[in-house]
Amino acid sequence: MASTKHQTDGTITLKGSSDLVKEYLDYGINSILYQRGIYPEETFVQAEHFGITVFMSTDEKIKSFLKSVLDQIQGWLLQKKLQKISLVISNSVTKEVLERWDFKVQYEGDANGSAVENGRIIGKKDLTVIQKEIRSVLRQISGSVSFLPLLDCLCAFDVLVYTIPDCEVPQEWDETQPAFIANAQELSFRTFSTSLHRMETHVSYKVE
Amino acid sequence: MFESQDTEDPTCVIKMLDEFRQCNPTVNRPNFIDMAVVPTILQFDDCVVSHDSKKRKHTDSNVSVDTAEDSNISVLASPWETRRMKAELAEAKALNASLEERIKKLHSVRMELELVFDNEKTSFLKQRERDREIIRMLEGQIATLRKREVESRDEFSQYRQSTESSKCKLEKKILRLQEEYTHLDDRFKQVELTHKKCAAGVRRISELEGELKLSNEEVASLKDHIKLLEEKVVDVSNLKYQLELVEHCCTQAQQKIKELKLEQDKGEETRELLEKQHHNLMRLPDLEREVASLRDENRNLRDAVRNKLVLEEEVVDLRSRQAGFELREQKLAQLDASQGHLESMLEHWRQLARDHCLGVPPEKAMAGPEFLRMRIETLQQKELQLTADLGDLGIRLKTAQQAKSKVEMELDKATKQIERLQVTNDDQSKLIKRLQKRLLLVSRERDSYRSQLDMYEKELTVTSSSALLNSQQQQQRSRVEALEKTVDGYRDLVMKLEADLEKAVKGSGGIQFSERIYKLEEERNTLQQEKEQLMKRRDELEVELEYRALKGDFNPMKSKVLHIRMNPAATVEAQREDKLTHLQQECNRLQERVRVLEGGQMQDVTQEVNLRLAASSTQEVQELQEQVKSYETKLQRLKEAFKTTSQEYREVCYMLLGYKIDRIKSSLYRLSSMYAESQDDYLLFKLADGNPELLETPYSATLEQFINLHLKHQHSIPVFLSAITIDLFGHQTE
Repeated sequence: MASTKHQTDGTITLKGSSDLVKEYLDYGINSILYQRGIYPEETFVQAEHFGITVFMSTDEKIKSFLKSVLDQIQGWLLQKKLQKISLVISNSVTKEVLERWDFKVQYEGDANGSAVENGRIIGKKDLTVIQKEIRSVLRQISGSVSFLPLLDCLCAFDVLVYTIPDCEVPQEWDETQPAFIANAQELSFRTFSTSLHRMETHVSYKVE
Repeated sequence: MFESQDTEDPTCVIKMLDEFRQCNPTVNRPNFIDMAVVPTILQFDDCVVSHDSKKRKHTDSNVSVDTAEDSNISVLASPWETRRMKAELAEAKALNASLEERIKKLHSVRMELELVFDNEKTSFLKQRERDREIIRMLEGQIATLRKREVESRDEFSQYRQSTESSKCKLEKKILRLQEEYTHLDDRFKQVELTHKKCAAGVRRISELEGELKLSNEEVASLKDHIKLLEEKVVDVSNLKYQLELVEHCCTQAQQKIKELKLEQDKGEETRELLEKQHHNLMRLPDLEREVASLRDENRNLRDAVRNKLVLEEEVVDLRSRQAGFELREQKLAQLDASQGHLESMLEHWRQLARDHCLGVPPEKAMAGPEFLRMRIETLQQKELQLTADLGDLGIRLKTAQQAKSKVEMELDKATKQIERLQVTNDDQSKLIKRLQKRLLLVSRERDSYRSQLDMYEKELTVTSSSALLNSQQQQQRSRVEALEKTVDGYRDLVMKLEADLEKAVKGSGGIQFSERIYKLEEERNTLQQEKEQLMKRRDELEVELEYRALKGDFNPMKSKVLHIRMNPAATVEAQREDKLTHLQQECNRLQERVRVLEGGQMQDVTQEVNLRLAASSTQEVQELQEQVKSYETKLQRLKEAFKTTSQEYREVCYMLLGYKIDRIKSSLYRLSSMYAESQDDYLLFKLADGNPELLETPYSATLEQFINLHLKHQHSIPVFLSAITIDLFGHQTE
């Protein structure tokens, strides 16, 4: 986990940063799936991460899907091929896209406070600060349920990954079209930065 | 007892537990809000910040559980804490011991109480038994009482019914009696009234009796009178009867009189009639005569009618003719008018002719139209000539105009050239001026040099020391020469420049260059405008792209969208499609089932349905059937074509070779000639190893000669067959 990669106080490796991002995505996606009621409540269990309780799915299919997706995302993060991750929630009957959660990644390793030590890129940001930032974003996500429109139909989700054009397509993966919401309202959450990766979180939802 | 124990003992344990929990609040958190409470976060932060690297082995998920242990371990480090902890531990142990003692005591008390309870329980059980018996007895009594109650209730209800019925009867009776009473009361009142009347009536009766006596006397007297009167009445009636008889006779007589009068009237009428008839008879011959005359008249009239019809027809005819005539008349009038008009026109024409033939003698002029025509012809010819001339002139005009335009163009060109030349001329004049100035400068320089030279010469003349002079002179001469050379150089330069100027004028290359420059400038301007437009467009597109990127779209040049093929949405969709197809199948099956049920079949419905579905529902079967059908039709067509062609082929063979060849069996052929005398004359050939062999037939037996010659000797079947054909043909034409 992130803490194992953490070598000395106030520094963070690229691997550790990507781990943090991956964990954030995992908890974020799980809590969105729980909060937005995409899957029944009883398939989620409480777990504590980054100091707050997150609802994690126990559905084996979802778990394996998220694991494979997130592992791939981490790989791309390390290669700096990733641009954006979209969690798309769509009506499973009409396939209409109802919500899109965008997680934009920006690579800021070279600019502020990072240095190269022993050939490895290391960020100069305290882990506690990063975790605090992540926590606040996760709280915002769980708080967003109060104003997002009710999803009163059967919904399914998909994770779209925006990469650079010359990124190879792995097996089991396909190129697809971006999810586009007509008449959308966008809302931005707090951003957090690991000093190597900067994550912007937005949600676009269909206005009734 | 137990409850008291529970309240005492477990509270201590619970307290302890609570205390323990307070020490470690992360163990049991009731809800989400509690979890987000600050202490946990602080703890987490602490463990992250202060713990050295070995504590990082704990994963985040079990950090919350481990924090208690961690805190214990960290506490052990300080001795004061340990002492306090030990004291607490001792205290706890003491508490524990006292509690254990208490528990023992309580156990013993409990045992005693249990014994007491057992005794009481047995006694209670016995009592319960007794009570049960009593209850049973009481229940039996209650049952009997209930039965009695039920019986009594039944009786009561019966009594009630009877009483009710009797009550009803009595009520009815009462009503009746009341009615009777009222009735009687009325009657009584009436009787009373009558009674009162009776008293008055008795008095009246006595009075009336007196009167009656008087009246009776009167009656007797009157009766006598009546008898008298009756006798009189009988007489009168007799008289009346007689009178009536007489009256009857009288009426009869009157009737007779009336009849007779009527007869008399009739007679008179008949007499009058007779007279009239007689008169008529007297008039008959006159009438006959009259009839004859009238008949004649009638005949005449008929003739007249006929004549009249004829005349009418004539009239109609004449009228139509008249109408025609009128029309003609009108036409005539019109014609007259037109004639007048035409005559006037003619006069005009004539006048015209005369006018035109002024040069000709009037007799000829009067001879008129031919001459006029001739004249017109001559005029037309003239006109033709003139038009031709006009055309020529027009062409010439056009050519002249063209020439003129050409000339104008040339003029334009020339003027342009002149302008150009003027421009160049100006340039050159400027240049010349410049050059002249230069020349002037140069000449002045030269003059100055010359004056200098003169001065030097004068000096030379003044200082006439020869040697010095010579040397100076020589020096100056050399100087002069040098200066003259430079002057020559300047002159050459001027010449060169002039030549250049002339060259420039001759080539007029400057204008071409300027034109070219102008063109290039225009081009550059257009290109700049285009560039600006494109820049604008690019900016717009960039803005749009940004906007779209915000809305979820992306730049396909910069990024690629990927997702796992078997994502939840896709799986859900696939599941849904599966379900849909399944449901459709189910629906089909049920529809078929409904159809079967509607058809009235009740047994083996499912089997029937399955059979039907298997038979009908599969589209493949239908397709294949269609294919089979198409193939069958194709085959049929081919067969037909084959039949017709084979027929034709056979017929052609028959007509060309003279033999009809039938295939009886495989490799057995029958040949019958065109000229055979009967149908039974045929030859049989068998195909053995690719070679036909003649088989014996009744007919072949008659052809021994041919067989010997052609088959046995010549070994040629065609020749044999041809020989037979020729033979048979010869037989037939004989």
